[in-house]
Amino acid sequence: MGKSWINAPINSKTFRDGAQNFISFARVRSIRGSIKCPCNRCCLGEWVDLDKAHGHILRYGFLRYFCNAYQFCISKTLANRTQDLDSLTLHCRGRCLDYYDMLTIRRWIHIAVMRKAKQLVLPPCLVSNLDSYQHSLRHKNMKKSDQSEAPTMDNIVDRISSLPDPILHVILSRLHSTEEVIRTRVLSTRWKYLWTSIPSVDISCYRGKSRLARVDTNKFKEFVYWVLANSILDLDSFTLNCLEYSDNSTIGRWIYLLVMKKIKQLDLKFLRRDNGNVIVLPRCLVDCDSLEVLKLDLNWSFLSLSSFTGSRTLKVLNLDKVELLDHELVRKFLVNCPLLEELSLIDCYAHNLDYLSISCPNLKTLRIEHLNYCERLMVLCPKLMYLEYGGCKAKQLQLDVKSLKKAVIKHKYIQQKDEICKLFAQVSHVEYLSVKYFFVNSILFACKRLNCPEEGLLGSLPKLKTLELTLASLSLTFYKLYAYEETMVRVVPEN
Amino acid sequence: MSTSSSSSKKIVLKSADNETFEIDEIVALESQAIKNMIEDECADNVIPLGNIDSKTLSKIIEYCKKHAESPKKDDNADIDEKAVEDLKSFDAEFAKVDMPLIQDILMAANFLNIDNLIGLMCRTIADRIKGKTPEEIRKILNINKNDLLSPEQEAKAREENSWAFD
Repeated sequence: MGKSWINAPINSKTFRDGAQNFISFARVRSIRGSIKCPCNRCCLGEWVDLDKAHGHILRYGFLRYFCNAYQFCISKTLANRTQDLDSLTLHCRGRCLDYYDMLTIRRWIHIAVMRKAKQLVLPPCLVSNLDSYQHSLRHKNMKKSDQSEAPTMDNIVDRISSLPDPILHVILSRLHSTEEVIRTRVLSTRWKYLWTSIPSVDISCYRGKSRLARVDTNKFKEFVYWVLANSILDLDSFTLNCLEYSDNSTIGRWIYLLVMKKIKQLDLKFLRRDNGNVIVLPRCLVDCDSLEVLKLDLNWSFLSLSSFTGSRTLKVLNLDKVELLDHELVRKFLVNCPLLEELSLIDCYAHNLDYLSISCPNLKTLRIEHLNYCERLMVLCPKLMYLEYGGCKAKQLQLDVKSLKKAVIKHKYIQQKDEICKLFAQVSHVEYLSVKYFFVNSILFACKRLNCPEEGLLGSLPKLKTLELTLASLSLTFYKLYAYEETMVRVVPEN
Repeated sequence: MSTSSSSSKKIVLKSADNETFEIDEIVALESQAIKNMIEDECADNVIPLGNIDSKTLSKIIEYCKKHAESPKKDDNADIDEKAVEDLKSFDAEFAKVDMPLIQDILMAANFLNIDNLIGLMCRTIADRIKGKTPEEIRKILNINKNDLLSPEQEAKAREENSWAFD
């Protein structure tokens, strides 16, 4: 099917015959008799049936450079050829990307390669989009335009280096650490710069080294800096364990570089030997508008949020072994993270903040474990779905969690029955509850001692669908739960 | 347009050493490249795979068969874990071949565009070079000796990243 008819006058026979031909063509490939109408009015925006499309074409004219038709012609031509090809040349005028989709072009190239084409000529606008693709052509017959003999010994031997970058990157990303990735630089010239486009960096000052060996602090710092300075793409994630082998200002510099690389996930583990020092996160993290996940393990150093006043993008915040300073700053910070969905406070201290308020409009997951020295805990999270709570000694607990579905209570024993009853009263609408067997037992014991009704705890959970009891040993006699026939009870061993 | 419902339809592949393989269309669909060709109606006669030998091709077909039979992850969320485990152990067993064959499979999988298989082969290669020295890796991967860095370049790289090489 030629394409000249498209430019012919609408009333001419050439145009009408062309349109007729096109409709016949389209009928074979249409979906239940409909196509995206290629007339000048619909411009492929509307699905219409073939007869209507035919009418439109005759009335409004045929969309110029309508490529699906051409793509189809080319595909047909290529597919029906049984002989090998010498070369495949595609021409296009200007903005061809609007008209061709890359997948189709790749398909043609596949066919051309299979037909042993020795030469492939593509317009520049397509070539730039096929960049990575060209690698895959490298090992085939494309490059050798004048000799068609079998590949020479060399490229049979080193097949791995002829693979396209994205595949070698997958291999690199599977290695243990960034140290290991960097070592591949010396493999060969092909590998020397491959590492520079890795999307995530993971460096630890101890990995692969004996714990007793003295860490060369300078070498370590230089290495981290060198990696950050020489990688060329934006980073998705950065994981660093540097214990005490770095200082506030060096870490600040690294964070500055990371912000320039539009870091999305930052996972830092470090500690200050001189315990009096307060760690202050650089302000640029607040403004960077890329950070989504922040995980800090500070080995019980103090963290001040005085400069880190909020984030427009932060979704996940994990604080592990952090001493929080100043409850007002913590409260303000959380309020100023509108997208925050997940918050974990594990083994954190709240020394001089006897009161902690967590108020996040979009928080869905909250884990609080061993929040020490916190007397009053307030959680105002209307969208919270999942709560994990354990080992806290807060005397006053105020939960406002209307949407809560799943609760995991990790208490081992109860200290005060009142506090626990309050806790259960505030999460009484959960569908899934996981508690420790010993904990249930100790509640029952307390109930007996205080002469309260025994069903006090579990009977007050009307929506409960699944109850999970964790046991240290499965040989223990099973707590009688026949009162909850509609509740599914799972018993799992404690890990 | 081909319809995937006609599962009895056969596709014929021809390897570089002129061996032909007749497989079900559903198996062939694991390869994005062949899938494209089927949709393009150019898979009706024999598809010549001039760069894949019969040993590699039969391995790949073995893989595609197994994966085409297994329930797909996105079909429903709660497919039984046994099928997943079964597929995992198949993959682990499948990857227990020598490095030249792994590389052949990877190149062919790249050509045929079979995502899962590319991933599996990349994982396997990474597992085999993990924790190895550059010299050992060169040997394992059979890196082209004409492509090595000059001694000066290599010394410089090791110097620059002495932390990683110590």
